Amino acid sequence: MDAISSLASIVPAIVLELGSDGVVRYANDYLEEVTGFAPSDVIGRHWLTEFVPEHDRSRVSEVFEGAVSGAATRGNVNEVLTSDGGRRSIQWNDRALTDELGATVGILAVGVDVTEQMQQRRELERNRSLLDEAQRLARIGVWEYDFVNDELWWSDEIVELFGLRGRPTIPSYDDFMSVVHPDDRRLVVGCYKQGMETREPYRVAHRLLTPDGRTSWVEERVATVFGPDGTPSIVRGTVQDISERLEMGREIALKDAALENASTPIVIGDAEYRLMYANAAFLAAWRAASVEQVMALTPRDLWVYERDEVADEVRSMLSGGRPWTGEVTALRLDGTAFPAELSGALIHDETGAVTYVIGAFNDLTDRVEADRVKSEFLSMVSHELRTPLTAIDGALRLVTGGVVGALSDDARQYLTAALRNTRRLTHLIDQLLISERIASGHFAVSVRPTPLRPLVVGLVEAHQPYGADRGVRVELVGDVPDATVETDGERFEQVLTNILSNAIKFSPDGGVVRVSVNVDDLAATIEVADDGPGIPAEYHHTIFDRFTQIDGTDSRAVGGTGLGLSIAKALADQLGVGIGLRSSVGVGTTFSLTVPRTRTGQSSDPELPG
Amino acid sequence: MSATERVLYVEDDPDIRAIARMALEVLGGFEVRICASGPEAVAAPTSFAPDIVVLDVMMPRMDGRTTLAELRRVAGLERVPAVFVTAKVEPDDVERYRESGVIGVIKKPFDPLTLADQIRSLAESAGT
Repeated sequence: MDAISSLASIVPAIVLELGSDGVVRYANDYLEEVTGFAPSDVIGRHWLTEFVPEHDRSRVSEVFEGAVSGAATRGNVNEVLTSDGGRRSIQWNDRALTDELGATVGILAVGVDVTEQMQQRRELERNRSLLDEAQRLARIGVWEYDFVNDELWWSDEIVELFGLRGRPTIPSYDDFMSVVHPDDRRLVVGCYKQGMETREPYRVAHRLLTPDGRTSWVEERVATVFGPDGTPSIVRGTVQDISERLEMGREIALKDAALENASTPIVIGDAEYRLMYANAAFLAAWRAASVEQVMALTPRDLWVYERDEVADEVRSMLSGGRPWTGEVTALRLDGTAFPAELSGALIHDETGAVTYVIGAFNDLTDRVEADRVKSEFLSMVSHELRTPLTAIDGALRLVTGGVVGALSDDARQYLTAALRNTRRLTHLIDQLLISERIASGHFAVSVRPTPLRPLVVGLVEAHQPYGADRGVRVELVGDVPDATVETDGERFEQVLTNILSNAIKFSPDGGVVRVSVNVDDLAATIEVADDGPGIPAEYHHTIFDRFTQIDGTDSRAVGGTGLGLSIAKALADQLGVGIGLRSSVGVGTTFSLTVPRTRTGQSSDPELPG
Repeated sequence: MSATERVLYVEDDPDIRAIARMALEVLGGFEVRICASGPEAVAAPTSFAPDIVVLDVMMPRMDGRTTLAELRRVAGLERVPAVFVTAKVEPDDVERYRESGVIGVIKKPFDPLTLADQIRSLAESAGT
């Protein structure tokens, strides 16, 4: 024991003798260097429960039992408490101590302080797992070939990328070449050879054909380290899956091509409305020789809005996130112009900030020209029809007016029919012309405060003779309030006239058309009610379409053109007049017109604050 | 204020001329000079000093507006009141006619029974 004691006092290791009950019987001085506990602090005390932290206790206890029962245990590491409340990692080698009869009386344990090594190892492991995770996330694998020892190593991610998971192989060059797409093998080998010759790092993108039949794209970056004698010592590389990036690039290229080849002229500007891009169609439409020629200009040089203020309206609409579509005059680079429809929209990034503004144009030259031709044609036709009608109508009026002598009853009857039909024809031409003008947007309205009473009373009175001709009474029900409404008097008269004459036409002989007016703070509502046949519900949504006819009635039989209500509706829409319909078959129809009232004080100056 | 009695009527369509003559001369009691074209009208005033000129607008060779302009270069007719009778009565057209300095525009087809009254009332409201 003395020899052991003297040996124990000089080795740089902890030496403990524990009884088979776990109580410390001996400790060397080195224990104090490691743990701060002097041998006298531990001798006679239970080692496991007093000097081993709880989390290691059951594991250490098993090792101790093993050693006691005769097994030599080596290399177990556990923590040991220190006198200042800390811990150290100790690696132990144990063996049993026996008495003369061979019975186990305790164990001898020799421990080396491995705290620093353990920390380094943990650090390394953490780094390694972080690296693995980074590789996995970036889909980057790393590899290294050691020329001196002819050893190839690669990371787990390479195994994953190469589709070699589950194949227990030691990395080899053949494994690598087997997954390079056959068509790309020459490229990969060629690049490697070139890299060796130039001694420069290089990158190469190629396809992989993995054992599971998948094709993917990877990018390799390779760098070689050369020894002092100029021979390669180590070559390292990364392999990254770039399939997704390529796919995105391909998608962008596709969209680029679509934009460039679109027949619609398109421009893109930055958030400050500075031009960044114009497609080929734009260059052609604006007669620009090059994209640079366009980029040197501002949007203001390339198109103008109907009015200057529209440009501001467009900006504010776009910044409010709403697209804008409207007509502009496009200014070609050669000084000519053409009408165009511009659709503008903003592109926002993920934070909601404006990144780009996009404008697409639609050349309206043909449409404007077609409109002009149609309008000219209609105007010509209407003139050419009216001239002979003037002669027919005039002659018939003179004859039926008795100017050229008395007529027989039969003659009067037939001539009256002829006259009635020339009037219808004239009316139809008028209506067609109006309808066409409204449809082509060439029917200007001028909304201003308009007194309602004279308008309504005048129109009712004007329609009474027409009603009387058909045996229909046209009457005003109740008072017409003295209100002022916001409308274009002449156009509103046209709307009400069409509604009134429609009501008269469809009233039975002896029927009554009742006109009433109600006003509230915001609007005046004029109702025209007839006791005609009524309009079946299924026609309510088409009754305002051109040339709508209801089965079982023939609008021509009552002198209709099929245009009156469509004109009334279109005009009402243009005026901001609401047009409503209530009807029951066999009871009658009520049309209502709701027109906004002029706000009192609207024309006076607004009050100044303060 | 002198009464409107002498009407110079210019119209290229013979049937309408016949109706106009009946309307103005027989029913209206005017003294009427009817011309079939602009040039004919421009030549007429030397022998016929009209109180009012009534013109069709769409006429071949010389239209109503040119005819009116030419007439107004004739001595004594510089300020003669004029009325257009026309089948082309879209708002833009009417606006242009008024710019020619006419006191009114009568739409075709017109009513021959009331044409004379219409012309008289236009003349009166224009202060002729």
